[in-house]
Amino acid sequence: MKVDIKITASGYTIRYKNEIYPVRFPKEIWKKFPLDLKRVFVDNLSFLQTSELPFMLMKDKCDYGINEPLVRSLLFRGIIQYLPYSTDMDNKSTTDEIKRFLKLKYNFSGPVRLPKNSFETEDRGVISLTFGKDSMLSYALSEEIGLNPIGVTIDEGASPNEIKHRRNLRNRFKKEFNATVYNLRDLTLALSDYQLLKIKKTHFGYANALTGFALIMLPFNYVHKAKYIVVGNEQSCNDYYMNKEGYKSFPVSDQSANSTKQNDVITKTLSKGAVSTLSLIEPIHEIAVMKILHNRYPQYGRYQMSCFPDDHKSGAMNRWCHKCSKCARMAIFAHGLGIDLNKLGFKESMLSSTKKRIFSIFGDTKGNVAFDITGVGRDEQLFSFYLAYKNGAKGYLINKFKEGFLDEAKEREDELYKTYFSIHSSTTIPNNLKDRVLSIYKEEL
Amino acid sequence: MLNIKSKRTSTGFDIFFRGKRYPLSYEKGHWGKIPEDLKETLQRNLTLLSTIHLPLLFREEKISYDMGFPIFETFIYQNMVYNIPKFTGQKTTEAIKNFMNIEFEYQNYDFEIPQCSFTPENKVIIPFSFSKEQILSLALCNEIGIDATLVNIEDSKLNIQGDFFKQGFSIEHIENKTGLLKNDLGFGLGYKNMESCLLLSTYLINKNAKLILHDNKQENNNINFDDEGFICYPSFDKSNQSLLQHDSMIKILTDNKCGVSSFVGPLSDIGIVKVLKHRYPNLAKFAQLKNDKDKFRILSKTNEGDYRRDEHLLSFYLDYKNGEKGGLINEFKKKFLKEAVDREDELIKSYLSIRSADSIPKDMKKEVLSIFKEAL
Repeated sequence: MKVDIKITASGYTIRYKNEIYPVRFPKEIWKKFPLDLKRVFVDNLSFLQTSELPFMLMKDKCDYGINEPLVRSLLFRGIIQYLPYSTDMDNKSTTDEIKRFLKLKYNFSGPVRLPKNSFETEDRGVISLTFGKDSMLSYALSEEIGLNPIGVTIDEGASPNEIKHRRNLRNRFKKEFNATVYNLRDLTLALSDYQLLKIKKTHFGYANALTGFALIMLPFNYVHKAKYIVVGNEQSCNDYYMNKEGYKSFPVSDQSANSTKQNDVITKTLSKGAVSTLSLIEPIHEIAVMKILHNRYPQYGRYQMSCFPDDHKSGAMNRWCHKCSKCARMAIFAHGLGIDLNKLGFKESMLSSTKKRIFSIFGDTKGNVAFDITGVGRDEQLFSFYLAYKNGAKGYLINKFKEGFLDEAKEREDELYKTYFSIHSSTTIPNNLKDRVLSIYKEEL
Repeated sequence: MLNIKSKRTSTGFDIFFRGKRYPLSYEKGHWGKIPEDLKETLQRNLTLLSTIHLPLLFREEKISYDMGFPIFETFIYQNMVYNIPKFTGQKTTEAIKNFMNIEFEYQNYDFEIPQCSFTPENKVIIPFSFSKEQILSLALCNEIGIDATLVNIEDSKLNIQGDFFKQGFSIEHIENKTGLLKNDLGFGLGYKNMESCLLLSTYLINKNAKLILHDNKQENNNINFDDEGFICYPSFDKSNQSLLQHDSMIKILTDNKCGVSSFVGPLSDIGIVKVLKHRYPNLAKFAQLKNDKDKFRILSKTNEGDYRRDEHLLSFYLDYKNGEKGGLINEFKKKFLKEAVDREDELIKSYLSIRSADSIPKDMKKEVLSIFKEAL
């Protein structure tokens, strides 16, 4: 198979068969990004956005018109480490799929290109703003520690409800905080979507998606002289389980601390040492992210949107669909932390009997959120229910929790507190920022 | 858990594992001239490269390093995965699974991309142990007027013939005992080019050279499959894909000033021998060539699936046509001559033609290919 890539006036396009998949930056950003950097950037991003495609389409070879990308071995590792999880979800043999992946050959038209132009940078951060809790806390922390953040939302085309809600939030956010927030249109995600590709359902295709969301920020770093790409990879991203064949399985392997560090190598190399990738929230777990966001930065917490609203009809009118496991997880975090769910935008009770099947703690979860399907997020949910119970939350599911899980939660109380409200490793935070960030966590946890 | 320590010395660094010291040492005065950030990067990455296989060997799930994060971790990791089917001696499925489950821990996670200021000239560095590929690379450099520095990385004792020096050549040395950490299972072979590319980056700077010349040739891209169906390279480290990745590594280490190439990339083994013997007989005599007995073993029935079989079939056929005599030639005539005659055109096209020259830098391609065309 063959993939054609072309630089355009506003970004670049990927052509596969007769379809064109564009990436469009705001013109003022792309225009100021020098041509030699554009070439290097496109070599790497376009490969990242298509590297899983030949595997999904059962091909054994893919020819590219771009030069050898620097990210090749990074993506190799990302894919091979994602396979134990995706094959487990797809009910396929991990070993067979690894075998097939190792046969896959990519051909490029020349040796690696590195940039000639340097980046001039100062202490600023660029953040991919999804309005999820991780990106909102990253934004708030960046602001507090003086990184003068720039937000970038990514419009991926295929999720109209999500785009609509995010556009509304972006407009309100920009106005309320006088914030700099750009929008980037990236339609290449369609190349990872089994439905759009008209192939059998698979969880594969997203092994390096989050790596892509980080690297795609580089033109904004160049134009705004921003030294950092701030990603929202929290401690829970390092969690794994053993799949039935005995492979360590990471539901979000490209958000692990190691992967963030590898991204840092790439952004530093592509910017001649000037731009670092970091995650300010690496030391804390999901529930702690939620706690700090809503306790310390309630003005930003109000904007939180953590649901995939296109998966259910009810997501069309509200940014919470109330029907997915992600809504369930956020709701029980909120109950546990004493956050007003109405103010957060929830319109329905999330503790009624009809919601039982979307809470992973009760087993047999339906949905598409890795942490819930695999059970990796089970203990964090146990802890959240326990906190909700202690906060006096009422409802059918609290009763179910009391019947089936309260004893376990009580017995494990110290361990759960220690795990979910402690400060963990901070390998991706540069030393010059570390003290400022950790001091905020110490105040809040 | 395995613990690896790495300590800087005045001439390089030592790796410590289970109480033993494995030194890596450049010639006096060389290491001292290298910028600090490059020294640090080399020490970290060469330490990982030399030890990444140890958890698999000792069935451990974690390995901890008393050094900082190595920037080429993913390059070294990918190479290791492709090495497994050939080198571990364990069941591939289990070995790949065990390897993927290993946790790597470093003392700290800060790193710098090395910055260096020097102006490369039209010079190359050749890792040198008298292989025919290296001798041919040297001969080509001489003919097209490129200054070549030869560096022997001493993981094994070099058998140097005195006459070689009489022709005006000199060889520099790197003492590398870290290879002892790998040799048991042949893992050393699986990292030879990546290791030499890291080690020789210091010579690029000290000699103002612009290229490292590796020995990647056509056969290195021939793939096979092991009993479990995993892809198996003769040495992934010497494949075209790896050459491009080694080039990326060197570009990163030298601020995009230098690269890695292979002059012999368009040739097969027989092509290399032919060019060397016919065009450079004075240097060909120093090359370590395989003897005919090895060649015949590869032709035997038990090795029919061997990826080099056809090449050796042609090699015997050419010896026969050149009038070579002897017991092995007689046996060849009896068993394989008919097949060789029937397949002559195909074999010559496969092994004595010039293949993709992507491994040669653009500004040198014309001269090198013109020599090959004349010699083949």
